[in-house]
Amino acid sequence: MIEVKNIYHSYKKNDEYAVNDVSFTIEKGEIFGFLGPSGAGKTTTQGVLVGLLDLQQGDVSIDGKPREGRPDKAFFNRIGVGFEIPNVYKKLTGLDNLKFHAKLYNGATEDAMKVLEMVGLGEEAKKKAGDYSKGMMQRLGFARSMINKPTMGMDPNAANSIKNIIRKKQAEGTTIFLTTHNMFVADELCDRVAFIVDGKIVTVDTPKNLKLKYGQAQVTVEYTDSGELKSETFGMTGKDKELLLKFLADHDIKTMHSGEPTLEEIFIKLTGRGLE
Amino acid sequence: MKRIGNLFKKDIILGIKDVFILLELGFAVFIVLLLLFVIPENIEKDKTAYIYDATTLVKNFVHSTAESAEAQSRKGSYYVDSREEVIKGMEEDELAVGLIITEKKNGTYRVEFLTQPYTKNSIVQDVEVEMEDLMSILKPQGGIYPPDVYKSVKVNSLQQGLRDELPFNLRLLPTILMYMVGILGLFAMVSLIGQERSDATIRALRVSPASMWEFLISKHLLLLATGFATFSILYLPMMGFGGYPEALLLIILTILMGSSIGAILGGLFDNPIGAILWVLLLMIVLSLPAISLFSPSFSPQWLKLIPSYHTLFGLDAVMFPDNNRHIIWQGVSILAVIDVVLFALSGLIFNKLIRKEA
Repeated sequence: MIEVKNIYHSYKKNDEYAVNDVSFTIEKGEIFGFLGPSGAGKTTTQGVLVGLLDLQQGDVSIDGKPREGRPDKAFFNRIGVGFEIPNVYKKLTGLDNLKFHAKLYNGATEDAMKVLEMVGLGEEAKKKAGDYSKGMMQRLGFARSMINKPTMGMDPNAANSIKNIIRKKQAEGTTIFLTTHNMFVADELCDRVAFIVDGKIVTVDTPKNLKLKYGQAQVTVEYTDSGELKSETFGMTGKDKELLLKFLADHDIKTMHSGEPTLEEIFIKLTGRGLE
Repeated sequence: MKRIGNLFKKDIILGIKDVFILLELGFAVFIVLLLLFVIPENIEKDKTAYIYDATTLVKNFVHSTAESAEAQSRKGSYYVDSREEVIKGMEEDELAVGLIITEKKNGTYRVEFLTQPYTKNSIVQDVEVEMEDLMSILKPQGGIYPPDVYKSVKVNSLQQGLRDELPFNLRLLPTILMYMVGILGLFAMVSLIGQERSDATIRALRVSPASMWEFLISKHLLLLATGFATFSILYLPMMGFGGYPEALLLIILTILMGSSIGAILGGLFDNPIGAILWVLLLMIVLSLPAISLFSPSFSPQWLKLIPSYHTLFGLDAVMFPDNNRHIIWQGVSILAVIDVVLFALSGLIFNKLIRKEA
């Protein structure tokens, strides 16, 4: 379990906070999404959590053990961090990248080749990472984050979706902190999400609850008007419902799709900001 | 140790794949071949003096005092028969000087020293004094000296001494070693750290059990290993094993000094381009003592405050022993103290600076 209480972080060590009074709790085995646009404070929060940045103010505890000063080697032996940027050694092969990182850890590590197969890079293992596409390098970075935690009973050939691997890790009891600005990934994977903007958390809840609380079910109707295909969206409750029924009666309807609002729309509604 | 060994192995592989190590070693081979086969041992160029000696005084003096036939037909001295021939000769050879000696009616001598237009005044004045001395010996006011006196006269340039007898290519070696091997650490460390920072690979290391101390030690080891190989390529063919351990010790200490300064700059700047001005400035400062090595008259006390002074003069003392071994150990001691301080300081500063980056 990860508990974060009232953390602040200022790069200039003044009152310009990149992270401002942030608190949240992540249960063991939970996938917790941290969502916000660039510069919102995601990376800074992650930096404080994983020990890249000093804990200037507030409390962080992992499994009930409060963080005091810089994390020790035992801490780094327990965690794995993947980055958005493809920060791998481009002159080394994918396999050598993983073998090198595996040797930095104490205790048993995962077989490098097996991890590469899991992320779909088995056939590219002996190619230089610099010859990988950006996506492949990101998968290599993700593989590196798992190298110190052997994955039990996973068939490498069946697991080459990153989402499947994350779910499998969750099932094994791994706690996952996911920072992203991709709402679809967050919606699909996360048990709970936090919205962060300008260093402050706006809300924390499950994607489902957020949609129920702040969203509205909608129907999109495609119809022809003077031979031209057009579309219109309506709410599914109250006055919108009446308007929809009248519209259906009056027009030549071609298709109808019901849908719930996306997490991104909820984010915009709550923060007034987009995610990009 | 296991982690440092793993980091070191990775740095060596990347160093070879990035061509950094191969380039350094290849360049060392190129330089040593230049020193051995292209740069001459003796670069003293024969100076030509056209002499018109109407009195035959100087001509006879030179002949009577020269110890051998070879000295008598000394290269570079041309006795001509007129002032015009002196000038013509000087026009053809821009390095030549001219001397015209004539006798006045009152029995005194007139000496004209002709120089090229760019000759320094100080040199002209120097020659004037020398000629005055020579003429007063040849024609003293109180009559001439006994013949024995003339035979005992030996004319030597003040600049001439033991150092000029040392092969020129060897004299270059301490400076080349300091630049190519010693100061290499400074530039290379900035570059190596900058590469890891711009690729963000250092970030992946920072969330692993590897500490930043281990990261830096591995880089220092890479530079020491490369420096050791480069030094051996340059030193052994030129000097053999004579003084090898002492010279190696001086070079290792200098590399560590440079790489420690490089670690501080690597922490301050997230890419090598940002640090390049500082690197160049420091390299200029560190190269100042080389001026003193080649021009001993330039030796202000503050020069000794520059660590590379002790490298250069230590190497010089190793390579050209002349009752000067104390300079080696003095240099080693000073560099060792500087290294201990800089190594610790650079590690602390680097750790502090890098923790400002998420």
